[in-house]
Amino acid sequence: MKPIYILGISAFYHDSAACLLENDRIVAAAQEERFTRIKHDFSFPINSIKFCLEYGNINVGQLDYIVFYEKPFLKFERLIETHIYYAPKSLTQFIQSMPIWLKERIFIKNIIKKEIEENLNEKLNPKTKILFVPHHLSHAASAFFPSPFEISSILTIDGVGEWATATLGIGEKNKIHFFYELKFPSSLGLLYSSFTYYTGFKVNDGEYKLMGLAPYGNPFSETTKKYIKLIKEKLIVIKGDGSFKLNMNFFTFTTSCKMVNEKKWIELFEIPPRKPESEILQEYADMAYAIQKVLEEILIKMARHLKNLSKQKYLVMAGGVALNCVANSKLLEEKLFEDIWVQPAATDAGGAIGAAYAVYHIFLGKERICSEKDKMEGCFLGPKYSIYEIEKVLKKYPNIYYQKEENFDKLCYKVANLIARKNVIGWFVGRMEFGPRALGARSILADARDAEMQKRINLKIKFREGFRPFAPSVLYEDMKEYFIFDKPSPYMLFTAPICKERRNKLPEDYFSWSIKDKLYFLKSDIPAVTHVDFSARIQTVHKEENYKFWKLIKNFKEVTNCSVVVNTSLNVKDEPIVCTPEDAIKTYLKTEMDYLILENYIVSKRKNE
Amino acid sequence: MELKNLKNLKIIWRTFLFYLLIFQFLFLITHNKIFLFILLSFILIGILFPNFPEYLYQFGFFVGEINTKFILFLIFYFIICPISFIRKFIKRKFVGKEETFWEKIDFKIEKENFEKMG
Amino acid sequence: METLKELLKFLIERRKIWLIPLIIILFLIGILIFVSSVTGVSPFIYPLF
Repeated sequence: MKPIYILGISAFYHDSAACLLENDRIVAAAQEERFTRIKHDFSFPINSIKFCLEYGNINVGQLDYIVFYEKPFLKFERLIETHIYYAPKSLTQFIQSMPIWLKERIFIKNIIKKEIEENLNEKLNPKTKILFVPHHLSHAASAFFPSPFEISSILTIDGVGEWATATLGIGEKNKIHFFYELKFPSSLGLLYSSFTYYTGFKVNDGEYKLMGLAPYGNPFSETTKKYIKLIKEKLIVIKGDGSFKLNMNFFTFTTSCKMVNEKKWIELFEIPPRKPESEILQEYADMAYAIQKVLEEILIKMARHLKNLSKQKYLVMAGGVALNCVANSKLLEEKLFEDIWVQPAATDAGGAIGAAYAVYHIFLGKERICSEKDKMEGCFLGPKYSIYEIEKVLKKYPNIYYQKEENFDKLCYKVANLIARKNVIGWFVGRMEFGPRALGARSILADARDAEMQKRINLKIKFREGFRPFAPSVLYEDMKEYFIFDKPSPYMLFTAPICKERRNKLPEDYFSWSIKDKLYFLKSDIPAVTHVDFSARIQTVHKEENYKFWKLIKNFKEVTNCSVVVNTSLNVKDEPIVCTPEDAIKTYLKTEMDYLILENYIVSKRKNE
Repeated sequence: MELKNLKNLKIIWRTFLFYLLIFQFLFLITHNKIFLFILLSFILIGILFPNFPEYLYQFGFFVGEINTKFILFLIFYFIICPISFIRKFIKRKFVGKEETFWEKIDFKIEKENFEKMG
Repeated sequence: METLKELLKFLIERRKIWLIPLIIILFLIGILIFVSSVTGVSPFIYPLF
């Protein structure tokens, strides 16, 4: 029987992406930013589409369906109604948004057709249907259909789609049914983004920095308690079922390009907004802690309410807020659900996958076959490069030296030794990851036992804020020796505490220490990946899913008796994760990374090595 | 706006020729010498200064940007604001103590829905 | 035009008929914006107002 090809597209807000399904298998998926090198690129993902079609070995004429991840008219309706509701304050936003909507966004069907036909030099098959899936249905489908569960509760939470900012639903076999939604402007994602902005980070980019800053807050200080109280009394009304309403007197994201009414926030919190790149004072860390606690409270209440509605033992999640892995772990600890599966590309990029799956299972009514393994293929859905292609690129750089190791197992052993000798390694092996995390295909690896490693990588390689922790990758079979966690976490979507026996005792006044002092205190025997509250955003590495990365860590264990390495993404600040070998070499040359592994090649800046 | 690629150059020169045609048409209709003068000036400038059509295009684009914002400004204050005022007056809601902010979802996930943009 | 028809049908289904006049005006503005930005004829269009 002829396979059905569905192309899913997300674009125009942030994180454009494309995904190709062949029946219910994800053939390829990629984010546009990786090709254009513009972080969070939201332009039409023509490069991603081109890649997906090339990888799937099909041409444009063979596509059966093209599906867009949201309903443009619904979104337009929300925009117009918001401008009307908040008039005359909404003038600036109206003048800024209308031209782009009136020129382009309303005509998305034509734009999709035009962009594909013009850039790929091929006419669409007249039988190819262009479909549209509601935004939160895209998220729900991206969470449920690739998951290993036949039936489960579905929770989606993000900034905003068309009208919905959160939905509660249930998925059963090949169907999804929604119970309730929360509507704009009451948005957990936008609330969190407001605090991202106020603490000096970039909106839609710095949310996970805010999450990383939260543990530096002092949970016992009067300031932190005051902030939590102020958020819950003045900024938001939270009901017992997890629903909430924002006090829009304090927020300006409906009327201007700024998130908050700064004057009111300064009066409320008695601290001005932090200037980007300026020193992080303890008050901002306390603020980060406070909003993290409020978010966790809301999330748990929502999940509890959903459990009462659906009566299901599993939960799947998607939407930008689902990337808050600290909150995900808190939810797991509540034991409301036996297991939780989160879409690794939980932001709008994953909407491309969800939209495609929604068409396959709901629109076409195709049967869904579940197995113990999810359908994300370890999230390795992007391009890979042959030895020949890599060698061609290496020859363009006369100032680097490289050595080929034919036997990959031997290469793993060499690299493991390099890591053990405190070298920082760029690791470019296999298909590129899809989603915000590096999972062992486009990674920077280092020794987790080295106390200086966090500072060194942050400042000299990633050129980013020093307080930010690094994530560990650990062999799944050895996970319990290092972390208090009992389920696979292949996508870095949960945090886990370091085992107690590995921790160093904290001084009594530790929580009142400054951020810098907390950062440099040796917290465990794997200090490079231990955050200030002993947590780590773990990735469990499985032999079946990523053999090469697993083999490397296995060799590292043989050399050092430690099954944990630092794994951070192969990129520098303000750049997307690398895609091509050339991107990797450029990143390598810009930084103080010691070696770069490009498939079977070991690349060095120094001839002797 | 990228002016450097071939497609945009074609548009620019077509626009320039469009201007020439307009003035030629106006001259033929009105027999007013001013249009002949403008027409010949455009042709002469176009020959002597090959970048002129590009500057004309940029100027047109610039004027378009300003006028778009001005028209949207007028629409906002003469249409959107009155609608907003009327709606606020009609929909004066006395906000009681809601037990929940969750709303029941009113759309059905049906096959027919997928083909619609809204 | 197909898009405008679909948009109007959508507004009727959503019972937002009061938005229709505004949408039509915005749509006409949209054509103006599109035409003037693509062809550069705006110095001719706007004086006509």
